[in-house]
Amino acid sequence: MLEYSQDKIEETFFCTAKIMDSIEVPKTALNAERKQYLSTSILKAVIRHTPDDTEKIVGITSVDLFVPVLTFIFGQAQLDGKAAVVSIHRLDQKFYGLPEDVDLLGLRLGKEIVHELGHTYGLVHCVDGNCVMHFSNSIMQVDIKEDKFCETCTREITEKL
Amino acid sequence: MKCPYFEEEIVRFCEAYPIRKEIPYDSNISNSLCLDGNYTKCSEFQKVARRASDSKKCPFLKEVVMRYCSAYPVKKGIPFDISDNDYLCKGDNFVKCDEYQKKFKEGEGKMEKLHGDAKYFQPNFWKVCRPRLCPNCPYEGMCVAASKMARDVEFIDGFMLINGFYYYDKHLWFDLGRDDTLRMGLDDFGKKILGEITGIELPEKSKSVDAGEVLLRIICGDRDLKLRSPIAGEVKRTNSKLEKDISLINEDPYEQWMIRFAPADLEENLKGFYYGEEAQKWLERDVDRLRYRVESEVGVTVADGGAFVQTVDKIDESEWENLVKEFLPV
Ligand SMILES: [Zn+2]
Ligand SMILES: [Zn+2]
Repeated sequence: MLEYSQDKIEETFFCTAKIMDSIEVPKTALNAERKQYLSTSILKAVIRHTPDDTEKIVGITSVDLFVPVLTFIFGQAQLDGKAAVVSIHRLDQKFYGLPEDVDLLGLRLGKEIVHELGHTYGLVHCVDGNCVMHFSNSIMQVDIKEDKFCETCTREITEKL
Repeated sequence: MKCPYFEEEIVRFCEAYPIRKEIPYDSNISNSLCLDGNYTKCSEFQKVARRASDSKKCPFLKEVVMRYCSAYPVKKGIPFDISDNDYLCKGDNFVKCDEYQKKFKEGEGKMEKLHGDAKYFQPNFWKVCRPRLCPNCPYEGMCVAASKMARDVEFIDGFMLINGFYYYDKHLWFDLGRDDTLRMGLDDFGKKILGEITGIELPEKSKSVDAGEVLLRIICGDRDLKLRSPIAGEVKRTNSKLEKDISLINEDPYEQWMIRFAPADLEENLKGFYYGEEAQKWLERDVDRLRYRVESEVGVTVADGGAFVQTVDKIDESEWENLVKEFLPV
C-alpha cells in the first residue's frame, strides 16, 4: 500500500517520493479519555524527523487522530508548510464493520495524501465536490471525490511545483 | 445495539375462525364486533360459542406479540428464543445482514437529500430516540430536522440552518415578525460552540440597548459569558419559558428565541444580516474556519475530517475561550 501511495505522489506532484523508516507515535499524543491521538503532537514529531533536503513530508499512521474541536480527523497539514499527517484508521472498511478492502483503502489513502500535500503547497479547500481538495468530513465524502485536482486547483498547484 | 428493523407488534386474531384470521390493530377496531359487546351477533362466534362472557370483548379475540423483520420485502417472523449466536437478527449481527445493508443504502440516499452525514442517519433512527438527548446524540439534531419537516431546514456540515431566518455574523438568528419586531436566538453553530447551556439571564423588558452593549448572560456549567447586542432597539419581550426551563434551548435553538426587539433601524439591520443562499455560504465558511487553526510552533494547520465535537466540556479552557471570542458576540 505504501508503494501505491508512493506512485500516487510521484505521478501527481512530478517528484521522487521516498519511503522512510517508521517513527514512534509520541506517547504524550494519546488522550486517554477520547482514546484518540492528538494530531498536532504527531505532526510535530514528523517535523522533527524531516531531513533537511526534503521538500514535503507526510506521516502515515494507523492510530485514530483528533484535534480538540473535531470528533476525529483523517489528516492534518501545515498550510503552506512542509509536513502533513494522515491516518488510515477511518479509511479502513473494517472500522465501519465491513469486510476488509485493501484496494479501496489504498485509493482512499492516496486521496487523503494528495489532499494534505495540497495544503502544504498552500491550497485551501475547494468548492468542487469532485476535486481532491474538497473537504470531507465523512468517509462517504472521501469516496465521492476523485483523487485528482480540479482545473482551478491544477492551475494553482502547477504554479507552485 | 439491536437491528433497527427488528420490530415488535401486537397482532390480534380471531380464534373462532377456522383459519387464523388477523384483525388489523387500529383505532377502528373499537367499532368492530369483536370489542363493542356485539360479538354475540358474529356468525363465527355463534358457530363455536355457547354463551357470552361478561366482558365487552369477544373471548375469541386473541392478542399476541409478534416479532418480525421490517426490512424484508414481506413480513418475516423472528423467533422469540434465539439461541444461535450467529442469528442475523441477534445483537450486532444485523450489520452483516443483506436486507439491513439494502435499507441502509436507501437511508443514505435520503440523507444526501438532507445534506447530512449518512453514517449518522441510520434508517428508522427516530424510533430509538428518547427526547432531550440531542446534545449527546450521534444523529446531531438530524432528528429535530426530520421531525419538523414543515420548517425549511438546511444542513451545512452537520450544522442546522433555517431558511427564512436572518443571521448575524456572530451566530445569532433573527426572525422578522409581521409587526416589524425581530425575535433573536442563538443559531445551531453558536449553540454547539457553547455546549450545554445551564442558565440564562435576560434583560429587563422595555430596556433600550445600543449595538455593542451587553445584552444577556449565558451560563454553561462553570463557564459563563456575556453576549453583546448586534443591534440597537428596545427589548419588547423576553422568552420566559427559557428562564423556567433552560434545557429547551439545548434541544432546539431555533424553537427557543431569547429576545423580541423593536429595532431602532430595521432596514439597516436587515441589510447587515445574512439571508438565504448568502447565509448558507457564510455558515460553510465559518465551519471551514473551525478546521484552520493557528498553533504557534507549527504555524497555520488545516485539519480534515470529523464533525464538531458534541461535548465541548472536553475542550480545554483556552481553546474554548478562543472559539467563543472568534465566533460569538462577546
Ligand atoms: Zn479544486
Ligand atoms: Zn483539507
